[in-house]
Amino acid sequence: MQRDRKTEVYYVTIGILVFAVLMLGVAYASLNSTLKKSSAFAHPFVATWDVGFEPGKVLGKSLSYSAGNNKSCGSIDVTENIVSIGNLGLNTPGYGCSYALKIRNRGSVSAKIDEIISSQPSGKTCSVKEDSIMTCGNLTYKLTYDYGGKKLLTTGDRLDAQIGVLPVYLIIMYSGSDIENNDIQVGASFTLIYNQV
Amino acid sequence: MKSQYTKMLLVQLFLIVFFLFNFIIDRFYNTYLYLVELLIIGLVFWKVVGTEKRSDKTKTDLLLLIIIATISYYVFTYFIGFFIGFIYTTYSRRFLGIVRNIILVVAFILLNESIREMIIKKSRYYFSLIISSVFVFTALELVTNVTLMNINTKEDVLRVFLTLVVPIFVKNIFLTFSTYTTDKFNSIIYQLLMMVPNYLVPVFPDFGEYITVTLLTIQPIITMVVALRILYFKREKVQNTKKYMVFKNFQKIFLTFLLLFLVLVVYLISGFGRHITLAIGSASMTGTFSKGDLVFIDKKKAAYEKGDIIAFRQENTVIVHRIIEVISNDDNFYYLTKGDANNGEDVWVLKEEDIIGKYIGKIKWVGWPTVLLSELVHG
Repeated sequence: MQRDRKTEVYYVTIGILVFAVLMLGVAYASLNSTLKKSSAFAHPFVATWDVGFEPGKVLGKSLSYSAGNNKSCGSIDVTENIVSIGNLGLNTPGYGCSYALKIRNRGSVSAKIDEIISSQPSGKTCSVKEDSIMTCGNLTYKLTYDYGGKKLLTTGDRLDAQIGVLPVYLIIMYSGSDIENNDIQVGASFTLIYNQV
Repeated sequence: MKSQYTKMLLVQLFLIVFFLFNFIIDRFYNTYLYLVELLIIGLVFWKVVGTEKRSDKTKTDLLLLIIIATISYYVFTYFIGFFIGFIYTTYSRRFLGIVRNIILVVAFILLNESIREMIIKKSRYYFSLIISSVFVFTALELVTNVTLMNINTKEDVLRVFLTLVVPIFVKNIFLTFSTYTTDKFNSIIYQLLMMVPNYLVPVFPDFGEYITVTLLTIQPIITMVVALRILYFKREKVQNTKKYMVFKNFQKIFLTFLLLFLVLVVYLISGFGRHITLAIGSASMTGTFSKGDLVFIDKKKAAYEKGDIIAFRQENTVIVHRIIEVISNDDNFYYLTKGDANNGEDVWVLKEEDIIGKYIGKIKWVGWPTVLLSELVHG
């Protein structure tokens, strides 16, 4: 490179540095209200990663198994890795709630469920069975692939590359044997950690 | 000479068609298939345009600089990671998975840089072709991220631009510079040092999107600036006149202040420290500050009082309003707020955890670019 050309390149490069930093600052500040830290973000590489729940996409909320008045399925919050239940109250054997969710893999690499972390509702002690069954007081929470609640999500389950979306269900059943006062539970959640196969 | 220009222009146009082809068939996109395509293109180009080797002191000096720059980058980011925390990489932690990932990325780097070298060496007399090759190779690398481009809204477009297009474009400026001034070897080493550790190390610092993208963007530019200064300018005969020395000293001071200014900008926007800046997007506080002003917020936890102006999160957005009443209940404090220019008080009752910090100052109009972009993206 000629010296004049090098000097030009030098100043243009400094200009790009200043422009890039200011432009990134302005752009990210404009996203401020929705900015999230995401473990899914990585450096741009050959393999791509896009695995998790479809955030906020709950296909339907329904009361199942039997009808009754003294029940509340509360609210559900779905982020990329976490599904959590707001205020839930059930009191009769056979009463239950079912939420239809979506789980996806749009990335170019296959993934597996590395860990399922269940968090107990506030003030309750829970027992956890087979990764995705949690019993807290009179309520049992299950994460399943089928509406009937038989095929559980478990550690090691595989989500093939670019499989698109799969339906999964969060089922909550009243597991007590008698009608009691409403068992109100707040804040139970399941966190799914994925890893590349 | 003219035929050489036309030939290299056609080569670049062919690569753009190749990019569009892969972009359009992204539903069938497969990493292995893409590598095979690149291999075929590399072999055809090698046959048609050929290659050449170069070995001189500049090459080894640039290599040393690249190694120092990348190691400094990792030492700096992982050192900061001890304070802000780490998150697990999503890439495989099984031995075979790591090997597979590394083989793929190394193959991609070798093919990409070989094709880049063939094009740049044969276009060396045409600066416009060198510049256009940066865009061509940025496009080619974007193809490998096509499945990340889930674009449904204007915000998605902006996110793809920021997280993918900007860092890849800037990296390709540096790689083009490196290949132009030496050969593909240094570019390959740079790519390997920047990419491979991400598959080997199970954790990376949890900087969040903004800082990560900013670091990935500025690292190659700073390396290039240092390379131009140390490797090229200092070696040439300089004038020792007083006027020239004054100019050089002025340049050093200017660059130091510029760098400090940029660090301050990143610090204030990221919110990692005690202070954060916010662009005001409404006229609800007119009289104190206006739409388009940039306000400074002190995040230090304090006992907020009636009359304080605070920034808080509400309804998925950040609002800066004045406290008009503080309610104390069982050791908990709740706050009622109002915009100075609004007729009524706000409908929400704030808890302490909703509050980001206290307003401490403003700069007029500086927030307008952010406000305009936000209105464009969010409507």
